[in-house]
Amino acid sequence: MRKIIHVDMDAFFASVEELDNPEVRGKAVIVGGGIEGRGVVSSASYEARKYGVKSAMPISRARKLCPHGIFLEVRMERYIEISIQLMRLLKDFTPLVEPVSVDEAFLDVTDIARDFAEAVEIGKQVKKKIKAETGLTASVGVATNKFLAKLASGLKKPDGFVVITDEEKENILKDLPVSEILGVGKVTEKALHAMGISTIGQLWPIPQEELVERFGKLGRVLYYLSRGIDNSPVVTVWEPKSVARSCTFERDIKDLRVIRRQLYDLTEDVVKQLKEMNLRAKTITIKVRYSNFRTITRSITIDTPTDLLSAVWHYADMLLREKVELKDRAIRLIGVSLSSLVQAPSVEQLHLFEEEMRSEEIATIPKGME
Amino acid sequence: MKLSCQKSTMLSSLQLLGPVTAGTTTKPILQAVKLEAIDDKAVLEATDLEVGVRCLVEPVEVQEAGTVVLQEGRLTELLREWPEEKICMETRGSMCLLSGKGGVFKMAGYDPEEFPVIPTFSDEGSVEVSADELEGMIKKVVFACASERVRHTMTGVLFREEGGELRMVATDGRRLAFARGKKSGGGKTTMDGIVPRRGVELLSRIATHQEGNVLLKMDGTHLLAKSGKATLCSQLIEGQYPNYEEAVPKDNDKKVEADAEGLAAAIRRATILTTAERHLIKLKLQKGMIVVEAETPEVGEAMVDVEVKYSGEDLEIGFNPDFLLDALKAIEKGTVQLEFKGPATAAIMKRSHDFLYVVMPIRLAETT
Repeated sequence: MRKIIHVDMDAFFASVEELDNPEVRGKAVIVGGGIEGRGVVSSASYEARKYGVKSAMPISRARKLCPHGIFLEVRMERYIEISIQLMRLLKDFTPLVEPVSVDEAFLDVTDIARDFAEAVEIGKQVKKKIKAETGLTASVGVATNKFLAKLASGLKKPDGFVVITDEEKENILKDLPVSEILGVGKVTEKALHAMGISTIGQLWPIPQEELVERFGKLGRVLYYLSRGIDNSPVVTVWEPKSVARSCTFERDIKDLRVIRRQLYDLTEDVVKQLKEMNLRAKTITIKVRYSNFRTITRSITIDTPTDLLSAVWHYADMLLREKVELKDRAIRLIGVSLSSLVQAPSVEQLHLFEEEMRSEEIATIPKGME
Repeated sequence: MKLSCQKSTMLSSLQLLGPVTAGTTTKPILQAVKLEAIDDKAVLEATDLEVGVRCLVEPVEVQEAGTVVLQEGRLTELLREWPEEKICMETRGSMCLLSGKGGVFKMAGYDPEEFPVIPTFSDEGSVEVSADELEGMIKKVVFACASERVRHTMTGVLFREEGGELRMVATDGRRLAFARGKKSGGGKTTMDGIVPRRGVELLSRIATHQEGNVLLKMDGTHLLAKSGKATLCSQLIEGQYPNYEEAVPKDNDKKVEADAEGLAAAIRRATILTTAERHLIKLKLQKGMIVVEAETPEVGEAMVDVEVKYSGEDLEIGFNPDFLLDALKAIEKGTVQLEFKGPATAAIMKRSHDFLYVVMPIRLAETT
């Protein structure tokens, strides 16, 4: 039997803001991009959630729901700083830590806990240590696999601590909505509803073959996860798939100079983040959303992974100018992401003329943009 | 052709040419030397088409003018084994007869007509540099040339005349060596070109065997050099040399003065506890001290304190020890000035006006 702990920070971005600004503590803190205009909510404090404010909701809607809210800009660098601190302290318990995102991680304590009770004890210590060292609260779940551990941490948010044993799992799963199953999105949910299935327990009588026939691979997942069976391992070497930033303009923009300027700023941000994470990227993608909401992405993959701003900017700008139809079309959103990431060598001889050697093939950054 | 001379006279000239033929394998005639006797002197030539050297053999008694082309390796070997006596060389058809106390040898020769022509040197438009100065400058930079073809221009040494002085620059993209030297004379000339490493090494060899001055000039495609006894012609490498002036940091504020020999000894000791895979030492700057450290898993740890003049902030910076030792070797004795900024930016090592070295550190990622 495995012993897995899932850690999920409570309203992470908003909580960090409350930590750093005592005067906003306990208030309806809403963190998002493009606070003044049309961005979306990245994180809302539990106080703000009382008014119906949720992540991914347009800021404008959040303002209507919660006019007295404190709206703050995303400070990704600061969140990453705390995230690194968090992951380090988790690794003090066991090296088997799988970070899922900046504020979420799995720990496999199978080998260090003698029995399940001890795993529960470790879970409590993890929670306590996070509070002591970061000043933030986390919801922690302890179970025998990743699916159940994650489910557990989500059951009593915020500041929750939930244990799901193998004996209890069926009871707990039985009445939960099917959407709690990882991988079940709106489409699957609808299809299941059409079959008369809305709770996890209602999935049990359906044979695996039938689920596979209807849902393909996902059918197998539904069959096992609905029974609380999940053999996926805690993967310690976690490599983020991409680093991305985007921005919604205050008004739709036609002016190429403004668009490029914005793209340059975003590029600078993602490259900075890439460097901080000690990664290099091979694929550069830009995303453009037109005023009619049609969204396109254009990408290019280069041979040598890079973390050079001049190189990334060269390709991002080239994609924008050569692969995106801009003539007389207004743009609502622009974004850039870096993917196909590889680890930068931990010990690396640095080079002279690096930028110069690149710039031989790469157009220089437009004047006034540096 | 018929001539005679002391064995040592011929041998010393031959040895100067040796490196030219050593590297060539493609064409047999490029592994040969041409010996030409004219009036009262003899001249030896060797070329690999990139670099050519012409060297006077003297004193020599010429009985009959003429030319012979012989395989360099065998000729040199034979002369090495020859007793310290006279040797007589004489053409017999396509063969060359070598005779004296060492015995009688007949060596097959090549057709002199097929031997490539090495451009001749005219003094016009050349600069003069003392042989010592030239040799010293080359020694300070040549080790920094790129050996791999990262970028073709980096495999050579940049020669440039600027502000009335001669400059040499070499870099492999990780460190850069820069030397300045005084001209001893010579008129107006433009010298600005990249000389292949082999050409530079041969030039140094010529300067070493020479007292007095060496004349240098460039004609756009070649470097030509002439000392009393020898002439060198080297092709230039085409292309744009990296902008070395940009690579020299201007705002390194952490300035250290150290004894070059003492620092080199400390680095050499610490380097013993590194491996080829992890060839890395750390310099820790503190007030009045540099601690040289090495830490190699499964090998061990080294820590050497070196007293220096320093009053700035603490800094920890990693380097390939060879890169530091190369520069300290070029500096030899006395005080080396070191200038740092941060752990991931170029450092400077220099001695007075004549030598400047820029070296990139090894970035040490924080272990997480």
